[in-house]
Amino acid sequence: MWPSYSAELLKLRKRLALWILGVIWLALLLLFTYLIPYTTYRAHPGAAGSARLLAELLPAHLAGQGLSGYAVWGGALLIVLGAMTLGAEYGWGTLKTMLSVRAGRLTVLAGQLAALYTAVLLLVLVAFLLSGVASVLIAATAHASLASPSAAGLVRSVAAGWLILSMWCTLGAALAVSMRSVAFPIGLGLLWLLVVENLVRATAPALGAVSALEKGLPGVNAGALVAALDPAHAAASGSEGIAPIVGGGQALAVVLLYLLLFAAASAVLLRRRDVI
Amino acid sequence: MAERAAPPGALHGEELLRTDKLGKRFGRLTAVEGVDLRLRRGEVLGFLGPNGAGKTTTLRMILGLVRPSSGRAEIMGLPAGAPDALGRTGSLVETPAFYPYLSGRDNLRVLARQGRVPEARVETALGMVQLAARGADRFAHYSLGMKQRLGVAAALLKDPELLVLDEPTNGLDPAGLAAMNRLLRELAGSGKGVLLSSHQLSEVEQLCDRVAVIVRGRLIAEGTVTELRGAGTLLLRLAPMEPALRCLAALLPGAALEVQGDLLRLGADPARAAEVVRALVAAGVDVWEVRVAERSLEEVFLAMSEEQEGGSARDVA
Repeated sequence: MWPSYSAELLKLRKRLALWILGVIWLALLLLFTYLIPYTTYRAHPGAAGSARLLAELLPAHLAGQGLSGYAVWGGALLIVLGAMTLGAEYGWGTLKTMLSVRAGRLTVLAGQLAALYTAVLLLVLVAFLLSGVASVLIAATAHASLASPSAAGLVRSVAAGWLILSMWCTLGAALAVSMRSVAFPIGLGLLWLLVVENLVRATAPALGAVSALEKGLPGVNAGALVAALDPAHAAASGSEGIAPIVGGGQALAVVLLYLLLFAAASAVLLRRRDVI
Repeated sequence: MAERAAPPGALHGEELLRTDKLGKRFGRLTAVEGVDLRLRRGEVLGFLGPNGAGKTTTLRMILGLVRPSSGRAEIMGLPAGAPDALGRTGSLVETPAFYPYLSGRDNLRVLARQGRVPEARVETALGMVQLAARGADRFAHYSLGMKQRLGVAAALLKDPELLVLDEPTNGLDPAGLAAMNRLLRELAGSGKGVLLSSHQLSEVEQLCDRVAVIVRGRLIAEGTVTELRGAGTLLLRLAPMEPALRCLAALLPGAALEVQGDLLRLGADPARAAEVVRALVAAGVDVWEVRVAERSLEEVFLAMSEEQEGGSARDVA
């Protein structure tokens, strides 16, 4: 699989659109998880809850605050990344080129997904680095505590963030493979993440059957996984999509299961279909 | 048209490609049916057919991109699409498809990594198609001819034993066309096998040792260009016609004779032209002109296609 992985890394590294997507994602992350909350704090420093708001932005809460955007809009951008990467192979007709070289279909797919997961890991690491810098700057500016989070907590957060974003990225890839295109899979993925999941969440408290369905949704479990890493932060921050609707263990298993399911669906479709 | 001499031992060389009763159905549509092809080392096999005849589907089955509904394809004894078979095959199917945001060179680097080929081969392949100077340009900025040449470079990247090329000269200027034909001749001369699908019948006639013709998914003819063209005929401008006809009927009993004004078409081996002229002059016939008429591959192809398709092929060749 290494040759396919190496080839895919070269393709990803040279694709400007993916760098732009990554920069947008990092900019949004910093904007919504640090800049806007801190600006709100600065605008009303004495208001009720402002001390708690500041506390969430300090380095000690990096493990939770750094993940607050992953469950929903972070996922949205990663669906775009997955769909763009695999769907473009159909649009450009390059899939036939790649499959005519040497490697088998599943090897090519494995290389593509492995390269994507590598890119996602780098993105998460850079995001945590930037979040750490932002939290230190806020702490220094506000003359607040510079106490750092536990290393184990940070590693858990990075791993969880990588898993969550990889799951959404694989969903985008699976939709692209199933529809052999880019635009429609992106639209469908975003519709699911931003509309369907929110509607289910909104109606779940009133309907028991919907509540059961809610506990199996990928976004809900991604949010629950983030909440499980820093329950106090989750309760305090009220970030969109982050709530302990299911336990951390279940959330981790379900997110992992979805990732494997999406990857398996891509593999089955790619293996069985003719490349025309 | 001068025919390319078959490389020594070509017809008895190792079999690189073999299809047995290869067929493909898409729902109710039978795209390809019962295609048997053989290609040996050092041989160039032309694969002809009108648009929609099933050529590209056949090539895709040979490369493992499309699964056959019936029959099988083997490359050097390996199932079509198997990694080891693909590793020994270079291909260009339909339009060259590459990553538009990458340079020509980087596109080949991607394929080199994917194919476990040393990246030094990238420059060799670019050089073989005269694209080294433009290798740093993005594929999206290439002209049609440059894209086609990059496609051929990609096919040559692995230094494969078998080449499967679908319209490799599409979009090339005359100089590019001549260079590509030279390259294909060299490749076949070096012992590679080439399966060449093309609409440029004059090139096929020059390049190919054998030709297979597919129409409506079925192989309707296969043989050397000479075999497909059939024997030539003699065209004689002469007078008077009556004694000439009597003389030729006696000299060549059973030979086809067709009179068109003062022109006589004689279905006889062109090698007997001198003998025919001597007999006619001895019979008191004045002979003003003698020439050999051979059907071109294009005429043969059109005739075959029209016979199968009721004339629909004339607009594609």
